[in-house]
Amino acid sequence: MRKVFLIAGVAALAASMPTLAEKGGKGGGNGGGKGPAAQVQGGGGNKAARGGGGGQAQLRAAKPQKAERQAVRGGNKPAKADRQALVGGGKPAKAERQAYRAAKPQKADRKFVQQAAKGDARVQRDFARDGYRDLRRDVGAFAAAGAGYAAVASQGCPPGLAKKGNGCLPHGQARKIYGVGERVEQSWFGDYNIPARYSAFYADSPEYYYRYDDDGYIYRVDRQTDLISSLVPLLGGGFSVGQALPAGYDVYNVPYQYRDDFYDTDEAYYRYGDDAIYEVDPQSGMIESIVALLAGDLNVGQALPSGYDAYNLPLEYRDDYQDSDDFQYRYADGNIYQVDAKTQMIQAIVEMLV
Amino acid sequence: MRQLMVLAALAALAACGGGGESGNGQAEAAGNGASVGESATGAKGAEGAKQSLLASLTGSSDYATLAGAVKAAGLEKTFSGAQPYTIFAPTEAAFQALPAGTVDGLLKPEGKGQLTALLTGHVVPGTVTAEDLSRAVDRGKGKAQLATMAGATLTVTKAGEGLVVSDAAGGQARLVSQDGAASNGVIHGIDKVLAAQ
Repeated sequence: MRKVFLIAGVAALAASMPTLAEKGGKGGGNGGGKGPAAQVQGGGGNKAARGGGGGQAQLRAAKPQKAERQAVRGGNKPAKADRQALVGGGKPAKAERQAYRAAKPQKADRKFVQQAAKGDARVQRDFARDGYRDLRRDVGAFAAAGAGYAAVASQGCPPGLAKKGNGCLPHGQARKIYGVGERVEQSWFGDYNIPARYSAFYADSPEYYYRYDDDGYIYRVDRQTDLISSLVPLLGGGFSVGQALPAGYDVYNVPYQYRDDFYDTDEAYYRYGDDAIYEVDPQSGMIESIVALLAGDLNVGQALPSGYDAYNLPLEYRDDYQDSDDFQYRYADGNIYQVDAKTQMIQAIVEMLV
Repeated sequence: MRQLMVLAALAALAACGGGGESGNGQAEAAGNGASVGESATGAKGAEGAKQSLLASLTGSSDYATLAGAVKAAGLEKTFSGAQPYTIFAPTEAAFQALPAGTVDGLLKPEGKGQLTALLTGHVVPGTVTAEDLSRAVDRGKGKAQLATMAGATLTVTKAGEGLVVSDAAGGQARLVSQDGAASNGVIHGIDKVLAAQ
């Protein structure tokens, strides 16, 4: 028991260091990124102790492997852990091959369920060996957070909320996310339902058909086998405030120019995805706010993309940077870019506003 | 330069420490950080007197529905932060012209993804004044393209004395008010809700 507290304490200490470094300004980098997730572990441990959450929660905190499954799983079906891990940026191509290799995918699926039901850590290891090492490393940070979530979850969810890996969620949001290699059943999706704004990109073809899930994913399904062959997470379009940020966004990844403004704290994490910076609740993993929208398409050394026909500098910078026969100036993502008027090449960032 | 960053970071830290809650603390911290940077670099600080895009929207009865939608989509901090944006803001009349129930549907939790896309489809980076638009249209032989934050492109043209903005699906909206200046951008009122993509 004491050992458990010690572990949690050490984790919290270790975590606080990179976080502090990050607050100092730029250069938080990857090291800083992993800090906050680990910090939750410390927090979770404390909660369990305070709330008298019982030995179960603390046991989970002490066994990251199990906690990891708990955190990633998000439901009652153990195999889901693996599916969800896939969703979060695993290597679908490999999983795809694997699914095809298996003569009876449904049987394979059952096997995972059985193994996981036994609480056998080998399942995780097998997956790691099968090509999820990268994912695993990232999920490691998430696992630490999971220990915290598990501690909270063990105290039970209020009526009307379902226990999900990352906390208590309304029933509608505790829905299943299907994984690559799963066989689609007609009852899951019904007819073509891709949101209009994406239909041009994901139109049914002779080989594949596409279906949308309200959880924010587009599924590509092989027509011959009815197996899901790819997932497309729709951050921004399908993801929004009130939804959980998917796995795979555990590490602090805010573009450098925004790091002074948006750094992880105990109250809020910040994650960049699909041209927006999201504020995330560290406890629930839910997206709370969109704090910045990014264009994401201007780079020095490349041609000015279409859509920047109009001069758009903030008024206070206009005296210094006026369009001329030689140069144009355009603003995007916190920077003012200088563009060669003749070649339309972006030559330099002349001012950083943030 | 490094000193500036430290100053900005300190300001942000101080603001956070005072606030404590995650509410507006961060947005204000962002604002403060930027203003410290501006004054230190000698840039003009006269913009400080204006209110933010968010305050402009919420303070206007013309944009009540839009302000509610911005809030529902969680974009409040985006439009009260330091980053400049130009909003093509559908007026109340524009929302009323939509089929009945459309707005209610978008405001539901399950509609928020689409709502976010719809709203960001009305936003372009930086401060683009009506005069900038007009010049760009002239220079572009009758039309100018603007990349939206939803990843689509809006096309601006002229119709008589006024400006018209069109979405990729061919929907057209007329600028009914222009150059609503804010500390972090500008708002142009439009008479129709545009398609996100």
